[in-house]
Amino acid sequence: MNLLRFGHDSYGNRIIDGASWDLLPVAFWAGIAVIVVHLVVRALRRGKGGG
Amino acid sequence: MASDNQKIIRHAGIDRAFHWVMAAIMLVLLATSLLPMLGVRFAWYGVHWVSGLLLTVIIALHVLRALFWQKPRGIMIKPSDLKAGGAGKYTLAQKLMHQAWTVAVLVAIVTGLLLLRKAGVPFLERDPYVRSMASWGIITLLHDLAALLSVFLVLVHVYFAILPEKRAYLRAMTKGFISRSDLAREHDLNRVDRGE
Amino acid sequence: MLRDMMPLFDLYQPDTLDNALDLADRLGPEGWLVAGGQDSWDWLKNRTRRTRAVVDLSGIAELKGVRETDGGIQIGALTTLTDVQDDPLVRERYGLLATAAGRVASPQIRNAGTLGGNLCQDTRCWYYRGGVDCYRAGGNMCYADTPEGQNREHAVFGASRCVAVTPSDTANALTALDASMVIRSKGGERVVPAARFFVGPDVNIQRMTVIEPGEILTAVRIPGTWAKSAFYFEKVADRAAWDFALLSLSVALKMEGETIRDARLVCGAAACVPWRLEAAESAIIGKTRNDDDIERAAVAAVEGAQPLNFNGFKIPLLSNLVRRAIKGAGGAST
Repeated sequence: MNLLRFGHDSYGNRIIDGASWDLLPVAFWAGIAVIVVHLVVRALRRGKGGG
Repeated sequence: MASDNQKIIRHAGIDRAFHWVMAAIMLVLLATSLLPMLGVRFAWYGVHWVSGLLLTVIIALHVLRALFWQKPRGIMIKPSDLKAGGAGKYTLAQKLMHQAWTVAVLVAIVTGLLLLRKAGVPFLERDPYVRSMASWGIITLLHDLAALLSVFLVLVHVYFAILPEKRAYLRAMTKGFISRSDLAREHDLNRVDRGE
Repeated sequence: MLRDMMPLFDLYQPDTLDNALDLADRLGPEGWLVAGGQDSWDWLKNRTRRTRAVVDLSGIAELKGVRETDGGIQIGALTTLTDVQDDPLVRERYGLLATAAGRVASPQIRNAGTLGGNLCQDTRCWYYRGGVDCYRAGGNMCYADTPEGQNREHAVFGASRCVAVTPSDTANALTALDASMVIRSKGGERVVPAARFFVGPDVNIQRMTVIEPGEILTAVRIPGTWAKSAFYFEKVADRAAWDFALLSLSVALKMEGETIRDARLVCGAAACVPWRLEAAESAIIGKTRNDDDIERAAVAAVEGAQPLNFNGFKIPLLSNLVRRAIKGAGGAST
């Protein structure tokens, strides 16, 4: 997986063009991961409270 | 003594309008930039930069209102926020969410405005040579990272907004008010009454 | 640095369309389709682009030739431009296309170059062709649209971060004739009207057409709608031969006596796609070829044009072409 996109300037020097498109699914799944973790913790807390 | 069912105005109409307009514009910005990357082809660039300028205006108005008509310290994180049930108007989580959005949106706006000179808009002479290509790359990288952070934040923010136990906050952002009993769950009502 | 040497690649030479489709599907973006090679070899010999494999379509007989269809004609994508120019059916019914095909490049190039290749060829923006990392090449910049950019040949319409133009002479003729492009893949066939076949930078900045990896343009279908209309084609270029257009204009008029019943005006090399001059068409439909209406059309044709630093001449040039074309349609085309 790449973190960055690279290109060249007009002199042929390698430069950063931006972030890699590979990071888009990372951002998406990170959000999903936070949601899932929270749902699990929430369920566990309710389980303890109800017991 | 105030009753538990007493409704407190949490967000004035103008603030709710700001929120929902900002949200809509953010979604348009994300859709116009990310859908083409996912293979959905349409003329996105014009909608994107126009939306970006609209967001800049709305954010500027929001900042002015917050600075001069509201108490901006109310959104800043304080030690008392770390205590359970010790929050004023906003909980620690809500303040963190606002901070994260502030970073994402301000970085996106500043870098986006700079990028207009390179990408080209009708009202500005297009001159990418005002900066080196390497500099444009860094600016683009920051713009990209702000967009990625926004994707993450949209998911998390919408999730928490629709959780049943947080529904009162969503109602407050649509109708404007919240009951004292809803607030009492996570907030120190004394601090709320003092306007902190 | 050594140039003009062919780099290494795997060469496939299918002799049937099915074999070619199999290869295109299997190789995907790594399989470079070559017809006459008049665009491809430049890229490869200059080492500006590299490819793992080349699929040479020139041996596929079923992609060549002109045949009649229900009301119109179908031209195989691998038909050479010389054959298109000389074909009796094309000359008799669609003289616009015959003239346009005959103005491409030079006789040698027309003998090898194909109609499909002419339509699918990549833009000739010299920054892009020179190998810089511009938007079209997947980078982050346009070098042509800058205060000092050499953009004499570039777009006055439809620019969106990229200002390259379509270099194809037959593209605007086929758009005026309401042609459709037949695209095949292993998954099936789709037929795309010319007006939607070419893609501007606002929709896809890295491609000139809707063809995706794994697909092959197999034929061009021209309906009978504009057959034997009053045609006019003119190409303005620095050289009389072997040059890309600074501007070209294809016009098809349906005449009812002296009245223009319907009109198609499509210009090339003014935008990244063949640019239909709908405002100019509206100005003359239902009118005769009188000076006032022609003048209205000439003015309408350039509405919305946005010149760059060095291509402002294209605006009065286009107006003049429109005047000449409307007056001259049906007579001898330049």
